[in-house]
Parts: sequence; structure tokens; C-alpha cells
Amino acid sequence: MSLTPEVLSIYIVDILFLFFASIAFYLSLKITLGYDRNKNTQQQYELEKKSYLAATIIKFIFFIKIPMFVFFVFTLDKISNILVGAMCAAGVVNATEYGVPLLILKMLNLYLFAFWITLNSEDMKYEEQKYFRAKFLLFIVAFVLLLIEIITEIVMFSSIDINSIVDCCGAIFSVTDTTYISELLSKDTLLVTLFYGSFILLALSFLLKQRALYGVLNLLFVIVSILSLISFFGTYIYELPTHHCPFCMLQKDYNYIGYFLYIFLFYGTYYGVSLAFLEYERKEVKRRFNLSLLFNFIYLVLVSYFPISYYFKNGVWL
Amino acid sequence: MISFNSQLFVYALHTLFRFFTKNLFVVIVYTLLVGLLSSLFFIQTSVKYQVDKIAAQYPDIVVQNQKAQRYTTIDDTNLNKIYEIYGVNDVVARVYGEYEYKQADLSFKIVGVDIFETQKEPYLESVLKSSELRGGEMFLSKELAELFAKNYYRDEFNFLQPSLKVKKMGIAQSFKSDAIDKKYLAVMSKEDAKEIFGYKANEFTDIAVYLSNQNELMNVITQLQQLYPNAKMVTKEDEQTNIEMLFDYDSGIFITLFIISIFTFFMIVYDKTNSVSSSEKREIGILKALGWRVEDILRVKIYEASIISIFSYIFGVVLALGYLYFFDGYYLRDIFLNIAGVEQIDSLELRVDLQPLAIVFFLSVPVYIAATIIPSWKIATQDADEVMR
Repeated sequence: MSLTPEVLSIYIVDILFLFFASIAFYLSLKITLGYDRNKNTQQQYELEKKSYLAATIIKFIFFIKIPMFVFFVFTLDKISNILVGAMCAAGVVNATEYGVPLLILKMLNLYLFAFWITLNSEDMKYEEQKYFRAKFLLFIVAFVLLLIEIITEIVMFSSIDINSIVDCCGAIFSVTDTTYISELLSKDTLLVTLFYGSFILLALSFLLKQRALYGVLNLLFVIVSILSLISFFGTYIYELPTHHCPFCMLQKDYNYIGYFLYIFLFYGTYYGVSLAFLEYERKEVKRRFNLSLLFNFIYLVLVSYFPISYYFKNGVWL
Repeated sequence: MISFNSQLFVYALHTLFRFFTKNLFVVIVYTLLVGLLSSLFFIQTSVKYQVDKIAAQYPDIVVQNQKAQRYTTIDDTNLNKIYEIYGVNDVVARVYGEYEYKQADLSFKIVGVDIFETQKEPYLESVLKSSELRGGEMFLSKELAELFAKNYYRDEFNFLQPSLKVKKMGIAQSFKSDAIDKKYLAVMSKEDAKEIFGYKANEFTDIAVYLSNQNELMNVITQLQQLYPNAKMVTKEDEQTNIEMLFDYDSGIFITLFIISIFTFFMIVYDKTNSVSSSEKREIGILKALGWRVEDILRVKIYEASIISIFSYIFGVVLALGYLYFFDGYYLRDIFLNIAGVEQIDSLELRVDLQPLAIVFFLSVPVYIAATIIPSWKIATQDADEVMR
């Protein structure tokens, strides 16, 4: 159990989220069960009023969640100072069995909430409000996931044992081990080919304006990007062939480059994935296509910069 | 996603100025809250930074002997064997401890030194450089010398040994101590100190080991453990972790207190925004009649809350920085000095970290905006005709 000030403040914001999300959840339940736009009663009118409250709460949670996520990763880094053996967030994430699921859940929720906001703004654009019930149904799902996330977070922080020794990132992301992750990470040429290949496919489907295909390819792109970042590009950021870690690049020693990489990747793929799910106006579709490809491209340029500049400086590959 | 609407933002700004006095109260309370918490955090990080700097001078390994799991004295028979371990740069058998001075009801620290050894602590080095320390004499910190003088011990002091014999020590010189953990300090030769503590000739308080290569730490510890199977090895990192946890613990207390006040504040804000004046109501009625949608009014309200909270946050932080910079954190810093076992710090070395700023941000801004959500919604969804009537 480690109740550092950072953890304490995360708990407080979690409690705040829980309180307001529960209100929004209750309202969403009422709306999905009772709303019928063809009826013209006082009750329907009240429900519509309540939908505004729910929407505001959800937006509020999302906009606090983004900086909170950064702060969460920062906290993990900070806790690594008091955990024996951990040198960056990777050790803390792996200190308990909840770390990895929590991190994945957090990212999933970010995508989900971002998608909800898109759905909401699309819904508000038209008079007939065709996603009205769908968006509150989606929130009910998101609420359950948020609840699981908060519980896992509290359980994770309270089950970290400061006296036990944990692995540092060098051991977790080692390619010489025989775990499935090292098996995957040792195939770096394959991953890099996949990474550039999936980007070419992305660009192709962008030119052909295939919305569904583009969205699905973005999903592939996120996964391949993160794997290739760990196995190949990361080693060039650290300029060390044995250092595979997705967290150390968030630290000051590497000019916080990790935060930029992840933010660009998130925006690019988020806009891309959202294309597959909704019908937009022509203009909006174009905007999303452009933004998605732009952010993904910036990400690609940023990660490609490190190996290329390394090659120019040293004349060899790692 | 959501685009920023600058016109609505400007409108929100104007509304804030129109209801200036109402908002002023909230801003003042909010600013003071943020200012108080962030100055506590800034003082804490500054003190911690200074303590860390001292901790960096600690020996790499301290060998502490144990008897029945209590600390006890250690003998120096293995000292040469420690020297022979690869990676060890220097070994010092140290003599130090506390002496209870009953008349003044306090205990002061006695540090035994050997003038032929290199001094590891900077204050000792400077003291011993200035003049020669002879046997039977001691150097006192300024505070301790003043205290002694008050009790008429101007030239010598009588120490009571454990064997109840009295040992007279001459007072040679007083110096300004910058050891932050002890204000009251007496420096004397190791032999005199041992006599006062009642140690035997080969007994020492502990053994400090300095390494030339940090990577050898675990290796050296294993070998030391073989030489002293009963002893406890305390590394510099252990000490630093302890300091870290101590500071985390006390800032935890302050956060707990802050949470209580911020939730009280939450109630005040909720109450304040919930009671809308008739003129404000009329304004919203007019806006709705002009064709503003519910979302627009909600957005203005959220903008208002964001402006107030972010402004007060920044202003509070600036206030805290000013308090630390111009007043040196006077009064508030004493809290931390006592908690951290630090007795004296002349002036704070101001350190501004991102981390306390982030904590204060997450504890204040979301809470404030959250407090305004429900009242804003209530206002925004009022019917235009009802309000105007």
C-alpha cells in the first residue's frame, strides 16, 4: 500500500468521476428505457432536458480524463522511485497483476469516450437526433468499463507492495527470454515491415476513400505501431540495442518524446477508427480523413527520424 | 470532437465581469486555498531538495551492529579486511551520539572526529581547517555555545560519563553549523567522545563504507555480510527512500486536510451557483428567446467555471511563489522542518517541480468545474417563457 500524494489525488478524482458518472448512468438508463420521440408528453420533454445534463457530465469526464491519463503514467514513473528494482513505469505496471489490464482498459476507455463525444456532436447536428438512444446505450457500456477501471485502479495501487522486488523494464521487455512477448519482439524486421506496410495500405485506402477499410486498418496500425515502437524504434530513441521499453521515453532524459508520440498516435488513429462507425457529412468525412492521415504521418516521421539520424551519425544500424 | 467557440468564450468573460462582486468572493476563497496548498507543496519540495542534497553525502553503506535487534556498538577488528574488498574506496569507523543536557532539557549531538582522516561532511571539513582541535577540547555550534554560556559554562563543560565520573572538556571555539539535522552540535576527538559515551577502546558507533564504483554495491554488501553476520547494512538508497516516504507521508496529511476544505468549498460553490439572481434568470430567458440553444448556454456556463477556476489556480500559484520568494516561506516552513527532522535551514532554495503543480491542479480545477455542472444545467434548461414572466 503506498499512499503517495499523487495516488491520493488520483483517488479523489476517481471518486468525483464515480459520483458524476453514476448520475449520468442513472439518467442514461431512464432515457434509453423511456424515450420515444414520437410521443408528445411532459415526461419526454423532461427526459430530453435530462439528456443535456448527462451529456455535459460525460464531456466533463472525458476532458479531465485526458490529462489524468498523462498524470497516471507520470505517477507510475514517480512510484518507481520507491519500488525496489523498478526504474520506470514498466516495473510498477508489472508489480501487480492488475497493471497491464488497467493500462489497456484506460486506453480503451479514452477511445470510447472520445467516440461518445463524436457521436454526441453528430447527434446534435440534426433535428431528428438519430443517435439519441444509441449514444446513451453506448454510455451505459462505457460506464461499466469506467467502473471496472476505477476499481482496478484502486485495487492496483493498494496492492503494490513497496518491500517486494519487481522487475525493471530491461527484464520485462528482454528479447532473450523465452516468454511470448520476447518471441514477438525479437521479430523486429517483420514488425517494421508490417508498420510501414500498414501505413502504405492506410494511404491507399485514403486515396480510394474507403471509410470502413480505413478504420479497420487504423486498428491494425495502432497495434503494429506500439509493437514496432517497443521492438525497433525504441532502441534508437535510447540508442541502446538492448533497451526495449515503452515507458522510459516518457522521461526527461529523452526530452519527454514519448508523450508526443503517443498523443499523435492517439489522435491519428482515433479519427481514423471513428470513420468506420458513423455516417458523416461529406465535409466532415474529408476533415476526418485528412486529420487522421496527417497525425499518423507525423507519428511515422517522428519514429522514423530516430533510426535514420542514428544511421547518419554513426554509419551503422543498431 | 468539440470545437472551441471564441465568441461564446468572450460572452462568458463579459458575464463574469457583469456579476463581478458575486464572482469575486469565489475567486478570493479559491485563490487562497490554492495558494496555501501550493506553498505547502513548494516548501516541501524545497526542503526535500535540501535534505536530498545532504543525503547525497551519506556514506554508501553503513554497517550497524545489532544485539537483540537493537543497535549496539561495533568493533574495529575487521576494518582492514573491509579495506581489502574490491570497490571500497574508504572506510571510516565513526563515533557519534547524543548527550542529554538535563538543565536545558534537550539533547545535543556529539561528533567524534579524527583530524588525520579526510572529513566527509563539508561543515566538519571547514571547521577543522580553521583551527586545530586538541584533545580535551571541543568545538561547539553557535547555538550550543550560547546555551552553555547562559548556564555559565563559558570555558569548559562537565560531561557525566555512564560510570558517573565527570569529564571536563574545554570549549575552544564556536562555529556556525550548517548541518541541517542538528542545531546543537559538539565536535571533539574520537577518544574524548568515546570516553563520554563509555565506549571501550575498540568500540565505535558504526562503520561507514565509501565505494569507488557504485555498481559494486551488492557485491560489497555480500562480502560485508560475511564479515559481520549480525550487522545491518544500510545503503544510501535506503536512506533516500526513507526520506522520500517521510515526505510523501506528510504531504498525504496535507492533502487530506485540503480535500476536506475543497469539499466544503464545493458545497459553497454549489450553493452559490444554484441560487441565481432574477436578473441573471432574465438574461438567460432573453438569450433563449433570441434563439440560443440549451447547449450554447451550457457552454457559456462551463466556460465561466473554467475561466474562474483556471484563473484562480494560476493566481494562487503565483501568490504562493511570491510568498516563498519574498518571505522565504516564513512560518509555514517550520511545519516541515519539524516533520523532516530538520532543525535549521537558513533560507529555502526555491524549487518548482511540475509534480506538485499537477497535484494541486487535479485537486482543485476538476472539483470546481464539477460543482458547477448541475446548477448550470438547471439554469440552462429553464423555460424561456417561465423565466420572463
